[in-house]
Amino acid sequence: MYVLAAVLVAAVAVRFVLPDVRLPARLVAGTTIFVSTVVQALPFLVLGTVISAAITAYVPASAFARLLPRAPVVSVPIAGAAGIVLPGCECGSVPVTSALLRRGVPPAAALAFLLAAPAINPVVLVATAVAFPGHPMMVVGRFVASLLAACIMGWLWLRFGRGDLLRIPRAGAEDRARVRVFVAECRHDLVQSGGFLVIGAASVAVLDTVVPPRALGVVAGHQVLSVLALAVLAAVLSVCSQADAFVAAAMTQFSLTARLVFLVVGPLVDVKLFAMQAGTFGRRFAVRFAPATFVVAAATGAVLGSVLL
Amino acid sequence: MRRHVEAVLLLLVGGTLIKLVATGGYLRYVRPAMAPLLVCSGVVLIAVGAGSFARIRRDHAHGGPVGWLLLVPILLILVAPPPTVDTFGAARSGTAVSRPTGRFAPLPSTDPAPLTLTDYAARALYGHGSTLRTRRVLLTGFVTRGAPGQEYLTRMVITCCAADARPVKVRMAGRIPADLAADAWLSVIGRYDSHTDADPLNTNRIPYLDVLSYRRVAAPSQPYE
Repeated sequence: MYVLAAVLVAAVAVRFVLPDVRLPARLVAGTTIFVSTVVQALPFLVLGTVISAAITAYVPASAFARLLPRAPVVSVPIAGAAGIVLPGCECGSVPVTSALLRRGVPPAAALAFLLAAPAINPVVLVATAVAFPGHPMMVVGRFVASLLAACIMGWLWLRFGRGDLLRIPRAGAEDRARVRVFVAECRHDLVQSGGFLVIGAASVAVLDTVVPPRALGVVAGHQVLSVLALAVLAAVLSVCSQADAFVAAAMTQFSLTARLVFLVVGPLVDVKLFAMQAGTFGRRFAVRFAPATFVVAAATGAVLGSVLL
Repeated sequence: MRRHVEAVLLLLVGGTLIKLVATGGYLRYVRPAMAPLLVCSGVVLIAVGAGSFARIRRDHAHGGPVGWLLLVPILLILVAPPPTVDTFGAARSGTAVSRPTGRFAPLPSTDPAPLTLTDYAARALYGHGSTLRTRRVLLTGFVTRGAPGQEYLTRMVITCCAADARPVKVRMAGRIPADLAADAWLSVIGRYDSHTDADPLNTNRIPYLDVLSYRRVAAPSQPYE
């Protein structure tokens, strides 16, 4: 508490003492991107955390067991498709998934939900349709490829996943009054995932201002390289899934297939998401899960793109 | 991290979000439509922070020190609020104008007709200027420079936040404001010019505007389109 007070007093002092210094444009743009990413993501993080805390405090563990089919192979696509109901971007789905895991939802199904939710909800699909007028297949391709990639990851977890890799966050608070559990869970989750959001946003800002803009144009003409380049770019830029369609639409030097890969990879795996997953489910999980997701998402996007577009 | 420290952090974050909306500063970072969401989440954060001072029977959530990082964006916003992404962003990505879905609405009846850069560029590129042909238009944006002698009037367009900002560029011909510094904001009155250029960054077309007159203006409170 004293540390916090000291930091705040120091900040106020700096505010009045510091003269106007001119910083390099790159650094200034970096801080803008950093602050913008945090400000944009916070409402969705709050929404996700409130839903998550409500599940922890009010929904009994048996409820999900009854809703999901017994056979894990079937529960994966159902949980993935359930992602349609969570509006918003990546930041909200991490805390909700952690609450689902806590309530006994099988990890394979919960992970399918985690990946599918930010990519296939109506807000994102409408944004894609608006960004690509005249290309309805972009919307179809995005929906199918994202859901498929999420299911494949769920099934892969069934086959290869080990319980010890995934840290299931435990509920921290116990109290007879559920509202107090709710508030305690909210408080703790918000501070923790807020911290990881800050790490993610800072990485985005650094990478976004360092990648040279012309480097992309060189590979745009090449079929395979352009797909790879946009897959990597999606993971690096970490644009919100509601906005990425508009960013992709502006990259007209690339083929539609390469841009579909950008839209499929981005919401499933990116720097910001990696930081939040590592913080919530453990680093050992994230370093295995994120690269696998990247390969699966890029491959599904490329295949769907070459079939549909 | 102690419970009370977490609570104070949440009060700070919530307060900062509400302050950003109250002062209009949030427009440098996100869309105007985010205002209600930011206020709502600010209220929730403050409520959770304040509610955390109530007694709880068992509360053994021990997180790492990662939550302290929340102070970084908060202090940045309160002490040294980052500016808009204008010039730096405009130099990094190609012009972005997507084909409009419906037909063009009639121009505003005032003379000159005020248009957004996006609207002007779409009418010029996809409507071949047919809705602009005889009219004087009023555009507002900032100056960016390409190769020597190429001056553009530019505006950043955002969908979610300034991290996804991309420029819309209009090449200025005619009475070009050559003496102005890049990133100066201008209000320009001009006529449609049927030339186009290819943006070297993404080969998208950049429409021309025949500049009749211009004047320097202050950066608008809503910097993005």
